Amino acid sequence: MPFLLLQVAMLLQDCLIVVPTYNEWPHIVSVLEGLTALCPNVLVIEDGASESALKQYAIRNNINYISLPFNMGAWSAIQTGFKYASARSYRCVVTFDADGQHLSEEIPKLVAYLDHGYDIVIGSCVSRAGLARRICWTILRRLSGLKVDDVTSGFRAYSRRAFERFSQFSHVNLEYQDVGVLLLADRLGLAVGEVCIQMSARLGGKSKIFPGIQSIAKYFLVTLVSVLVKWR
Amino acid sequence: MTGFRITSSLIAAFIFVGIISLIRKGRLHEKYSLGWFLIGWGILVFGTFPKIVDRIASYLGIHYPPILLVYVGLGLLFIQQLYLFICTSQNEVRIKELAQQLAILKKLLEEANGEKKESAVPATRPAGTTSDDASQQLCGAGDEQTIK
Repeated sequence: MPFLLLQVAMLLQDCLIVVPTYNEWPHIVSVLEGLTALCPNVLVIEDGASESALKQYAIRNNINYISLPFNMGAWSAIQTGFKYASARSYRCVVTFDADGQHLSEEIPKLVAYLDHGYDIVIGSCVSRAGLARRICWTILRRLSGLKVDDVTSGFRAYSRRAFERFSQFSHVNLEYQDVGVLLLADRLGLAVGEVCIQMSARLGGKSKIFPGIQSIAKYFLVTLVSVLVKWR
Repeated sequence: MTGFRITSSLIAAFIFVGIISLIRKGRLHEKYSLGWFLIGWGILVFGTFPKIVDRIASYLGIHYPPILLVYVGLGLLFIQQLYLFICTSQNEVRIKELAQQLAILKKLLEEANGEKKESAVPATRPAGTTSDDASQQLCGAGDEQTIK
């Protein structure tokens, strides 16, 4: 058992866990506690709302903290993490939701898979999807030709090659962090893999991207357009 | 007919003078000034000599000449609107890029200050990189603007 822990620690030593957050206080605390117990390098990116409580917490617990001057959306926040990781020469980046849906003990699984020649490894949990989400996924998958089961999972590991390419200037204007990013990865010739993982229920109630039927419809249509125009 | 011509040429002259004064005051950026200057001249010429429109319409086989102006106007507005959307998207990318760089530089600065205050190295950084290295790499990050 200690040997296993040592292995995990070695694996995560030069790996940055990026946690984009927007109004997630106070339930982000339990998420960060779980993360810091396992990973030495955690970066919280506050997307717009300046929650001084979170900043104080991050300083007290020696967690990296970046605050963006205004709300830019999850992808831009993640991209800030990529840029920081490039500047600090990390080997890989794992994106992790602040709402408690992702489990920190699954991180080593994702990171270990990067060593099998993948640039992006998606932590996929197909069982969490309801009927509507399954239908959306199927349509987007069919149209885009992406060979990924869980296209909307935000739990992903990125290799250095991947996050350095995604840090580039022209890739910033994606509205959502999921299908658009995978299409871009496809265009850039990055290898995408998928690992089956467990997820738990959200702590903060509703999803930020999908608080209601209107935003789901908007998400679906925007993504559909980007899938259609990039269709080969 | 003359009354109409006076009205249209007055409106045209008013618009033309407005555009010229905007360019003179520098309220319109230099790169847009040529386009607006030409549009101003067009409005002035067509406003003062409306017969030209009739002539062109008859060459083009348009039976109702005023519709020609409506079409051209709508076309120009459409192109302009598209151009403005492109500019807005481009500006959004630039502003976000700047905001990201600012946030990261702030973080790197805090780290550098922390390093100065206490000689202990923060546990959160892989060995072999300093704050100076990091900010140099960051400054180079935005150079490539297109997907290769």
